[in-house]
Amino acid sequence: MAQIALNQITKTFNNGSIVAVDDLSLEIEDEEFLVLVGPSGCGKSTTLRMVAGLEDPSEGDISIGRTRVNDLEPRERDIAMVFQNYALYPHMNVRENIGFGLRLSTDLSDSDVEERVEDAAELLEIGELLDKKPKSLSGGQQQRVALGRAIVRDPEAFLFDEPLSNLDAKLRKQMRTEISRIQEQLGVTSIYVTHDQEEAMTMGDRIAVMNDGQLQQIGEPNDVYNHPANLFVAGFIGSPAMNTIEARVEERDGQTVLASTDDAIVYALGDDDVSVDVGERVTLGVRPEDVVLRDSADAFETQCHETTVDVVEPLGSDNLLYFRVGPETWTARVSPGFEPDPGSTVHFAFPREALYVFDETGTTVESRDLGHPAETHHVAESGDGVVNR
Amino acid sequence: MSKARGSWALPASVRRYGPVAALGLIATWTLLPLVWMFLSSLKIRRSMFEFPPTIFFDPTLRYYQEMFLGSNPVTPYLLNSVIVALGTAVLSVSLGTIGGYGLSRLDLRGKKHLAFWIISTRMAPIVVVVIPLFYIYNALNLLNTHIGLIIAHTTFNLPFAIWLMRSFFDEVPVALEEAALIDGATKWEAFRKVSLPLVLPGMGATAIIAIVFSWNDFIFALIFTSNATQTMPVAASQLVTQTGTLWGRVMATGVVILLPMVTFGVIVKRYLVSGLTMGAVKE
Repeated sequence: MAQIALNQITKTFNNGSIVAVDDLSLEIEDEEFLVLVGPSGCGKSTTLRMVAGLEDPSEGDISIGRTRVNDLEPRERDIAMVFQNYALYPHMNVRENIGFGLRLSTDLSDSDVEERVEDAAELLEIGELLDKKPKSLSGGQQQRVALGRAIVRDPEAFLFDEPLSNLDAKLRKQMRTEISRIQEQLGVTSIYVTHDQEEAMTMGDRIAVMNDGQLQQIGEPNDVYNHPANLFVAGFIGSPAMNTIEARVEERDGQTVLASTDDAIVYALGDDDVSVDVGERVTLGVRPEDVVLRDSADAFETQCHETTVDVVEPLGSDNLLYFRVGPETWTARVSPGFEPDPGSTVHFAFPREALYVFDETGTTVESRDLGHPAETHHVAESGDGVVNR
Repeated sequence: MSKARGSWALPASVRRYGPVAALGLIATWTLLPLVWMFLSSLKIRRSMFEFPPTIFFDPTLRYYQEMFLGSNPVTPYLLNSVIVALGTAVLSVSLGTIGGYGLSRLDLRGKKHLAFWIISTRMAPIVVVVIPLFYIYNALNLLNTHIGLIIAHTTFNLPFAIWLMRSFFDEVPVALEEAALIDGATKWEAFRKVSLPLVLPGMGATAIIAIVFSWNDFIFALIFTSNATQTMPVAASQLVTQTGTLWGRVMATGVVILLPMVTFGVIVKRYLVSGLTMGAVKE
C-alpha cells in the first residue's frame, strides 16, 4: 500500500492554450479514500489519468509510495483503474478478464491465477458469472467484473473514474456501499473521481473539490459541507444547493446589516464581531435545512422576511419549498406537515449561526457554526481568514 | 391517420409481391448470364448457338477434360491466381491493419488530410499507372514474377484496406487499450491481445475484398506477366485465337474462375456481414 503525492501538477493541452489542471498539489495518505469531485471539465479526470500514467503532466511531480513515477509506464506503477464504461475486454470471458492483468504482470502459475480470480469473484459475488462474456452481463454485473479486475492484482492504489455514473440510481447506491466496503476491507489507497457531490460526501474519507483545473478545498466531507472555502464549494456541495443572494454591508439605525439590492433581505448582524466592513459587497448564504418558514410573522421571535411560495415538492420525509427572494429562488427543507399552497404568503427566517458570508472574490468570511468548529484545510488562493463564530 | 395512409398506400398485393418481383428481376439480370455460361460449358459447340437455347440436353464434360488434361492444362494458371490472390490478401491486410491502427490512434496534425490523400491514390484508373509501373518493374526485374503482381495488386488494395481497418479500430474504445496498459501490458501487448482480436472480422472483410480484386484483375496480370506467371483471367483471354474463339473452353474456364469465389463467398458470408456491420464491440 502506498501514499500518493501530487506536487504542483499542471497539465496543458493544445500547446498551452487549454489549461486542464493548474498547479495542483495533493497528498493522499496510505489506505485513504480520497474523492476528487467537481463539475465536468474541472480537470478531475485528467488528474486521475496523470496518476495512472495515461497522460503526462506538463509540469510537476507525481509519486506513488515515495517513488517518483513521472517517467514510468502505467504498467510499472502498480495501480489498478476502474473506468466509467468498465472497459471490459469483449472477446474474453469474465475469468479471462479478471485474470488478464495477473497473467501479464506476474509469473504466477495458471492454478495460482485461477485461485486468485476465484477469490476475487467470491468477494464480489460473481462466482457464477466466470464463464460468461461481458456482453451478456447487466450493467451492475459488468461493474463488479471491472472491480474484480482491479482488486485481483492487489495493487498499490485503486483509481476510480466515475465508475457508477452508468448505473441506475438504486444500483448506484448499492455499489457505492459495496466499493466503500471493499476498499475498507482491502485497505488500498484510493482516488475516486465523480461529479456527484452526494457520492463524494458519502464515500470519501476526505474530498477534494476542483473547479477550472484548480483545487478549491480539501477536507473531511462534513467540514467541507459546513465550512466551504468559497462560494463555489458552498454552491457545489450540498443538495439542494445553498441559497445565496448578493448583498451590501450597511449601517442602518445604528446596526450593521446585510441588505440585498432591493431590500428583499435586510439581515441585522447583531453586536457580534463580523469580519466585513460597512460598504463592502458580499454574498449571503443559507443552507435549505437552516431556513425556517412560518405562516405568520408573529410566530418568530427573531427577524423574519415575507415571501411568496412558488412550488412545494413533497419528498415524503420532508418537503422542499421554493420561494422568491429578490431576484433569486430559494429553497427550504421543511417538515412534511408544513405544506402551504403555491402563491400564498409565508414568512422565513434563519438563525444567525446558520449564516454564511462570502466576500466579493467569493472567499468565505463566515460559515455556519454548529457548536463544534472543526479543523479544515483550505487551499484556494485566498482561503484563509474564515471566521468560525 | 391509418385511414389517410390507406388512401394513398399501394394495394396489399403490390406491397407484398412488389419487392419480390423487383428482387427477382435483379437476380435474373445477374444470374442469367452465369447460368447460360454454365449450361454452355456442358454443350457441344453446335447446340451452344441454338435459338431458342435448349435447357435439357445431353451434357458433355469434354471442355473440362481438355482444360485440365489437354495439351495446355489450366492448372498452373489456377495456381498462379491462388498464389497472387493469397499473397495480395496477406500483404494488404497486414499493412492495412498497421496503417489503419496508426491512422485511428495517432494524435496527428492534419490526420484527415493524410487519410484523404491515402484514399485519393485509389482514384486513379489502373490504366494510367500501368505504363510507368511497367518501366519501374522492368528496371527492378519484377516483370513476370508473382511478387511483382502481388505488389501491384497490393498497391491498389492498400488504400481501401487502410480505410476499412481504420474504421474498425475507431470502433474499439481507447479505454480498452488503456485498461490493458494499466493491467500490465506493453503498448504492443495492448494492441496484440486486446485491439487486434476485436478487429478480426474487419481483417476478414479486408482480406475478402483484396482476394476478389486480385482474383478478378485482368489488366495488371496481362501486362506484367507472361506464360509462367499468367493468372486465370489472362489465360481465358488467350482462348480467343487467330483461327477462332474456343467458346467451349471459354465457358468452362469462366466457370472454373467463378466457382472458387462463389464457394468462398458462401463460406465467409456470415463472417463478412458481421464484419461490415460490426456490433461486436459496443461502447
